[in-house]
Amino acid sequence: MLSLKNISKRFFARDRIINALEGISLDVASGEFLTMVGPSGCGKSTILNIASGLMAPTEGTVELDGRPVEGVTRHVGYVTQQPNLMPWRTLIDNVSFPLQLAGAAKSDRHDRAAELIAMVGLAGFEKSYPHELSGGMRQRANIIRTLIYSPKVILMDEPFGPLDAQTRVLLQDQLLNIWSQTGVTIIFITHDLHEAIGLGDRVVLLSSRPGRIIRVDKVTMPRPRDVFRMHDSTDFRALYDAIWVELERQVREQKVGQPR
Amino acid sequence: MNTASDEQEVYQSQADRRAKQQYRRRVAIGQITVIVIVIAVWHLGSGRLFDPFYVGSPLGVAKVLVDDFGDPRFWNDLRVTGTEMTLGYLVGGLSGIALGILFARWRLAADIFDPFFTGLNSLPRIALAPLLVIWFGIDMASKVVLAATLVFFLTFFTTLSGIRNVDQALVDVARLMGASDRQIFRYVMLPGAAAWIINGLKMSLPYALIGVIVGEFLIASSGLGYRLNLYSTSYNTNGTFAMLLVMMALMMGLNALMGLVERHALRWRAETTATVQPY
Repeated sequence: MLSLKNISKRFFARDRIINALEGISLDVASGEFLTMVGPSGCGKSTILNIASGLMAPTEGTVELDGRPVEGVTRHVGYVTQQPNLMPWRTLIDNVSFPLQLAGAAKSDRHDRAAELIAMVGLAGFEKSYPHELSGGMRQRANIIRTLIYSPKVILMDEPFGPLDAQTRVLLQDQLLNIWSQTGVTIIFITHDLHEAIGLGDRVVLLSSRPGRIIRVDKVTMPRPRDVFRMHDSTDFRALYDAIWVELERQVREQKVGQPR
Repeated sequence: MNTASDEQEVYQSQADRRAKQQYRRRVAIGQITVIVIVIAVWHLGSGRLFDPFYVGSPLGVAKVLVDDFGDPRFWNDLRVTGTEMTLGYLVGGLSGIALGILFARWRLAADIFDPFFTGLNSLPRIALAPLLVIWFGIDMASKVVLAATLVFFLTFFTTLSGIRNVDQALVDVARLMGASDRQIFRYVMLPGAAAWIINGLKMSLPYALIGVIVGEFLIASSGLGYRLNLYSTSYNTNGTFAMLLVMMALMMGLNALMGLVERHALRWRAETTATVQPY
C-alpha cells in the first residue's frame, strides 16, 4: 500500500553534508501496524516527514497505492510527538478541525468529533481548552483529530514519548482498539522496544546515522494483545532479546562514532 | 480521570484564590492610602509650603470640576475629543491591522517597505502636527489624522510580528490535514496572531489620545486639549490639573474596557488575567 523505494536523505549544512537516511526500502501492507525503532538521531522522524510529503527525499520515491506521493495529501495522516492542538480552540473544535477544512457543517463535524472523543474516554471535556487538559488527554485528541478524516495511512512519531508510564500503556491499549476497529494502516515510530514489539505486526530496526534498515522482524504474538501483561510472554522476551542485542550495538556505536 | 488529584487541584485553586483575594485587598488599601496621603499633603501644604499659584489645591481642582461638569461647553469639548480619538483610533488601528495582514502574506512588499516604515515611524509625529493642520485644516480632520498615524504603526508592526510568529508546527499540522493557504491564514495565522494584534491595539490606545490632545493644543476651537490650553495659558493651575484628571480618568476607563475585550478574546489562555506585557 505505502511503499518507500530506496529513500535517501542528505542535509546540507554550512560546511558538511549530513547523511540522514540511506537506501530505505519498505512496503507497508494495507491494515498493517508497522513499528520502527532505532537509536535517537537515526532519522526516524525524517522518514515520516518524507512519507507524509512534508519533505522531499534526496533520492527515491514514496508511493501510495502505486501512485507517487509528492507533497502532503489527506490520504496520509501524521500524528506528531507534540499534540500541536490549537490553544484557542476547544477540544471538540480541535478534533473536528479537519472536517471544517473540508467544509462540513458545524453540527455534523461536532457529532462525529463527539463520537471519537467518547471513544477515547474524553467525554465531558468537549468544551475544554487544551491548556485545561493533561498531556495524555491532549495526545488522545491529537490522535483522534487525525482519525476523524479517515486517512489511509497514519504516521505516528513517538506519540506517547512524553507521557508517563501508566498513561502510555493506557493509550497503547486504546490505540490497538482503534486500529482493530478501523483497520487503518499505521506506521509508528518509537525509541521504546517494548512498545514497538507490543504494538506492531512487524518491527523495523534502524541503524544509527545514516539511518538504514538493519532488520525487520515479524511479531508472532496473537491479537488481540493485552498490552498490560504481554511483556511476560516467552514469545515477547525472545523477540525483545534478539532485537535488543542489535539495537544496543547501534546505540553504543553512535555514542563512540559521533562525539557530540 | 483520577478524582483524587482532581479534588486536590480544586482545593488548591480555592486556597489559591483566597490568598489572591487577600493580596488584592492589600494592594487596594495601599493604593487608597497613597491617594489620601497625596491629597492630604497637597491640601495642607498648599498655601503653607507651596504657592497655590503653582500647584493649585485639591479643593480648587474640585471646584473647577464641579463648575465644568455643569457647563455644556465642557461636555461639548469632551465629545469633540472623544470623537476625534475614536475616529483616529479606528482609522489607524484598522489600516494598521489590514496592512500588517497584507504584508505578512506578501513578503516582497514587506521587505521593500520595511526601511521606509521604520523611518516614518521614527519621525517624531508631533513635528508633523503643523503640516497636518495645513493639509487637513484646523477642525477635527487634522487631529484624527495625527492620532491615526501614531496608532497605525503600532498596530501594523504588532500585527506583522504576530502573524510571523505563529507556531510553524501548527501551520504544518493544518497543511497535513489538507488546509489551503487561505484556510491556514484564516484558521491558524489570524487566531494565532490575535494576542499580538490585541496587544498592539491596547498599547496604541494612549497614543490616540496623545495625538488628539497635541493637535488640539496646537490649534483648535474646542476639545479637551483646547480647554487645557485655555486654562494653562490663563495661569489657572486648578483648571489645568482638573483637565489632566479628566484625561486620566478617560484613559483609565478606556484601558479597563480594552482589558475586558482582551480577556474575552483571549479566554483560551492559561492566564486569563490579561497579562500581555508591552515588550
